[in-house]
Amino acid sequence: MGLAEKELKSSFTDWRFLGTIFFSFLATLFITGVLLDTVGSFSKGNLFSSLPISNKLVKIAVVEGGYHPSVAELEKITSASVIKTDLRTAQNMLSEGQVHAIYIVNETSGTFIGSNRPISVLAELAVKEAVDKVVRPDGGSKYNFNEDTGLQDLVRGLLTPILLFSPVFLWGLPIIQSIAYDRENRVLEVLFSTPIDRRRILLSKVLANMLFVGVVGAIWIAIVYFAGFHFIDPFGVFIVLLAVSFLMVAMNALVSSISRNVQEATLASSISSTVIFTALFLITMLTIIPQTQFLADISPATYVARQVTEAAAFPVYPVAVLLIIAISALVLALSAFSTEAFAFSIKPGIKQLYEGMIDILGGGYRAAIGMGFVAFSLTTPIQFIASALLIFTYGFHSLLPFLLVVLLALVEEFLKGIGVYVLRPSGLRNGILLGIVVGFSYGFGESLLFVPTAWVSHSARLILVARIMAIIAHVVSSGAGAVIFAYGISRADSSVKGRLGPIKLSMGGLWWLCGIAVATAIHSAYNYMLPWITQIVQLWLRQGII
Amino acid sequence: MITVENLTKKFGDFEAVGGVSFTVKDHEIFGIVGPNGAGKSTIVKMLATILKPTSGKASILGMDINEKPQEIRKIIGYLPEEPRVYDYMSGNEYLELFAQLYDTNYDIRELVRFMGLEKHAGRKIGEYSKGLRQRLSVARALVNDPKLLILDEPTMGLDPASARDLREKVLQMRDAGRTIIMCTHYMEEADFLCDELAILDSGAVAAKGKPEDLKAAMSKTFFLKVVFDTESESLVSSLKAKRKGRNVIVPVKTIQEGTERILEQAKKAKAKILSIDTITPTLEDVFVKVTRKVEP
Repeated sequence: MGLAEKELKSSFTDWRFLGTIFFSFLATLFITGVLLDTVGSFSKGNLFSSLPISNKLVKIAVVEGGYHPSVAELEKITSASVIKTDLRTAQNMLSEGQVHAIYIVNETSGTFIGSNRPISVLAELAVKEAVDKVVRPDGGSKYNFNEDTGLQDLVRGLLTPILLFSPVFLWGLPIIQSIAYDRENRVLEVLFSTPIDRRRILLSKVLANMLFVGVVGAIWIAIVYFAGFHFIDPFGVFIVLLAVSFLMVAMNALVSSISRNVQEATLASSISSTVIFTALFLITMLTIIPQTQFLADISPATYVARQVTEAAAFPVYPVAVLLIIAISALVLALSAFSTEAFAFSIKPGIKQLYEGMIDILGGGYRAAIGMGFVAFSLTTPIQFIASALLIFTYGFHSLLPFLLVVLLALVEEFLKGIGVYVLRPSGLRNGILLGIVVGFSYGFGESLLFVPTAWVSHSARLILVARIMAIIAHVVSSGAGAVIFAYGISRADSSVKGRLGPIKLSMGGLWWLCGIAVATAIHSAYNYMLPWITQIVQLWLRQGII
Repeated sequence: MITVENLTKKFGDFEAVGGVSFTVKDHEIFGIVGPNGAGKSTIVKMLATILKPTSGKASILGMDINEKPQEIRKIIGYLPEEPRVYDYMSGNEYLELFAQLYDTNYDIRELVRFMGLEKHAGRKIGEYSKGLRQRLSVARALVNDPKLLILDEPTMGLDPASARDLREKVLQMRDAGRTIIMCTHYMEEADFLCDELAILDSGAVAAKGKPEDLKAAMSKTFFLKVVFDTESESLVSSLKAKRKGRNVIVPVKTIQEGTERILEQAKKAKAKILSIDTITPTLEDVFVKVTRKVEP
């Protein structure tokens, strides 16, 4: 406990750092208040509601060649400002940036003309909402808007989680100082010569930093609450805040463990933090498009955004995925601690980190489970991007969706494959089992990530079948790749080295590459055919076959 | 106490330590000397169980370093090259932290007194000089009352007074019953402190033994250094000697034979002897010879 006490004392007595955190609270509250007031007051009692800022977000020039009821609906949307004019004037206004879009109507039809600016998308959504109200007066909004809240609450909901979580960037910094400083100044070398296990040294630092983050997070939620930001379930928001903070601390522990000095660690941390936060909050914006809402539901930030206006079920699975990613980062950090590169301030490579995992997790199948989860964590951001791109390109007869599917599968199988390579199966049976275990843990993580959201229906049975399918797909692809590799190293003389371009490879390595290729092919086929497979499964469920 | 057999350490294709073997007896100071990059720190890091050997064995008090690293760390104290401390802590806090990590009841005040840190232990380490930091680091290495102390270049960068003071402390620690392994590239220090030593060259042991034995084995020939009141070259050649400035270096079989011959020739040449000294090979001479394969 001595190390954890030292870390806590160091964090809670660093008055300059605590002052910086307090200043970040004030700055965040002020900016949040100003920005939220751009779209209307958050709630009664908001400290900043007196600021006079326009709440009109999008300006649309309407050219009426005849009466169409959608224009009246558009004028009812409170966040859109409608300017009726002729076509030439409208075109001039669009090119000069005075309006964000043009809507041309006559009695029977309408045409939307946008600009290249992102806000044009919001203008298009407003027009679509208005048209929808006319086309389906009883069907409700197709685009997740409603007349009472509309764009205001949408933007308010999106801004709130971004600004609520912004101070977390700061809270995750002490662990960088703790690990990277100790590594740069070789103090860790002295700690490693004590009887304390290396894992305990790192875990003490992480625990102390998490306690610090927990205290600071509780204070922040209390400040936010008393400033007038009344979430419907503040405790749920606090748990999500803690989960995101744990992810930050774990990621910072990892980057510190593989960086040579404090400067490098701080730079790497800022990059990884930006990627995490951008990914989390950009995903939330997918709420506005029904086809991608299931992706938005994956982000815990969406839950926080919804807490602004409605009670939402606590996001158990998204938080579980966050924790899996955080624990994977921690395992990699522990693995970096155990590598010998660490003692000489050398940056360990991914292969060395995987080898370190064998030490940390005790070898064999436990390491295989860990490697599956680590591979899943590393590919999660790529999966989001690929899924979003696939949704918009799928069905088009072009090479792009096919290439995306193959590329995603290749990255996933490669990262799983490194684990199998490092574990070095001792025979075919061992190879199959290792491949299955790595695939299972990867598939399990993926099933938590994508499947629980109602991407096809609310049928619990379908969701269960979909989860099992995701796991089976990964088990089959990883198992196939591992079998080929195990077969290869059982037959090949591993001392024979060949060249694959600039890369030197043993015969075992060449067989490994073959295994990756086969696994990628199986996985790509599954991903590409997934929509059809889903339809078949739905049919079977309806017919009671499964 | 410590047995090392064919200990090897490779980093990828690079062999930092190649099959070293030596034995360290109880209550002795064993030196590992060598130039920079010889593998000294790598060897002691393996013995301190910070690094795992690629091959070979080593045991400390009967415990194998590969099988019982945690047990070994309880009974050793390790001082790395250059002091590694927390600048924001005081000396007392630093020692108390490590006392907690070792779960020991060793009296911190006694350590502070032994290392002469009474006036400074309450101050922040960031305000310490290099000598004080090194003394604090030695105190930290003693916090668990170790049976074996591993010191990596303990006097590097210290001023002569601090270095001398630290050497005295090392002797006191040996006399108190500890076994000490010390890395150094200061030959005078190794000569002064070490009961036995191993000379490393490119990761291998080039020579090992007691310092006096190593020096004695260097050469079967003794030399006497004589200063005459004349610079007569005939006197020098009669003695089969070499002149180096004012000194005449005379090879002799024994000191007695040499002295008699010098006196006889000086008398014949009517020269007065101003001074006469014996020259014996130093450890530096031994080191240069075994690492560069040349005669001094």
